[in-house]
Amino acid sequence: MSGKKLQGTFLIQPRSVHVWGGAWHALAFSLSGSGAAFYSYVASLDSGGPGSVLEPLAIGLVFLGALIIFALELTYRGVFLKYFFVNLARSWISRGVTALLFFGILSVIAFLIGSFSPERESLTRILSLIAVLAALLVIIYPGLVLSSTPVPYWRTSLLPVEFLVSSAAGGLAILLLVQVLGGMSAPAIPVPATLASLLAIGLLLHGIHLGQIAESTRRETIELLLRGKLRIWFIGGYMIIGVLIPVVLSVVGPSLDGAARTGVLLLAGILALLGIFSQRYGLLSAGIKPALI
Amino acid sequence: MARFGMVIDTGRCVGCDACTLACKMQNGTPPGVLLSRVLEKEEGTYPQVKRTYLPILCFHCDAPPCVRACPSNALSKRPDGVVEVDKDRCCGVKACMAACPYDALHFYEDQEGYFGKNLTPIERYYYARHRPGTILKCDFCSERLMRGVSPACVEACPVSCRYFGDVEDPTSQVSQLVKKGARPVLPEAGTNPSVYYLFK
Repeated sequence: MSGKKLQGTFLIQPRSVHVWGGAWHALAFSLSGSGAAFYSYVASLDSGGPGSVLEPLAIGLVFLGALIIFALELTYRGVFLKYFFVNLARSWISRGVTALLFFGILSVIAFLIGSFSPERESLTRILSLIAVLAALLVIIYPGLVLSSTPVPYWRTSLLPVEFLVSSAAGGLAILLLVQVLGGMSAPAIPVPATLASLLAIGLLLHGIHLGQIAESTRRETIELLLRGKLRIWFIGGYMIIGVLIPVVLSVVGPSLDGAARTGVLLLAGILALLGIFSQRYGLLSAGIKPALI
Repeated sequence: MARFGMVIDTGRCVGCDACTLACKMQNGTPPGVLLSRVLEKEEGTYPQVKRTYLPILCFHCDAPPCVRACPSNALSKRPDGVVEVDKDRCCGVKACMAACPYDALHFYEDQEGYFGKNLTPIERYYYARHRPGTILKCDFCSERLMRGVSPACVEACPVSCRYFGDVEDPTSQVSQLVKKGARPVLPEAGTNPSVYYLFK
């Protein structure tokens, strides 16, 4: 007999959502969100300049995230889904994929014009600006998709804001890594301090978010995140490794000198990125629908 | 135009799963997929215990969240109130599955039958209707509705706990049961389902 697992349950009880709950989805949303935020920094801070590798790096990260999303969801057995963009009026997935497509086209064109025709600076700036707007939608659309589901943990207008803040932190973490490794001149903003602030704001927002979960699944969700199988990701991966330690390192790092400074700030950037992944993995895996009665 | 709906009397349901099997026979669904099934819950402590049965299927909501969530417009609501899936448009992204508060949509992964990859003749016959990588859902047995016959789950119920008809026709039995207090589950979801329940 076939050992196929039943889709669903026979019990009247809160039910876990098994759609989008894996590590690959968390990785895809982390890469595309952080990459899009990094692109926004590079484009707006003008830290790269013509021929810089920063723009291709940012675009590459978004593409990698998009590639995972496309491989996981938007194709089935290698067949591309031709109808994907038809429900722009109602579906946040349609809008998100369209934003990804726009971002990809505009950012690549802006980069190519900036590299091969540096005299057309105004055109490059306009295209980059539109690409940054598309990047903004790329960052927040997973939050909008999730917040439109009936899952009480996801169904909050805070979620897109949290995706924005955590992606902004992810972009800054990449910026910090690039800066520490000597890939760019110091940008106009104090990167370690801003990163620490964003990580702290993200944690605060998530705390408020947890307090807002509807009664129907609050106990199960909190139990899963703080005491259940996701505690290693949520408490360990996100709160401690992803927020507390990088915040301390980002505050301490700039006061150090030489190799210690480099090492501490590198670690802060890497841990912040790990934290963003852990947060999204926990968030995606803790979706629970309420019992029917 | 009629708006089809169903009223299920949970006080009558004995949890026999005749509806589950009738649906499977009618739609030839693959292993793991039950478009209609009976949920249950035990409450209380011995000897004061109670078992509640809740038969579920697609609720054919008036404001279906699955239709809104689908990026390829594969799901639509027909004028008769039935929410149906267009297999040619479905891209298997499962947004509808996440959006449905009732878990009424199912993903058809591959053409594996109850006895593995080698399908039995009846499985070959039925699975030809389905397309791997798409969504399967209850359509109130549309084939039967076109012939003027009630859905298979309604006809199979040995205790007649399911009532089917036009919820907008004030003379229909379902409409009168709704007036008498049949109510949808999870009303806070705001989907206005066409399946109502009578609770004891």
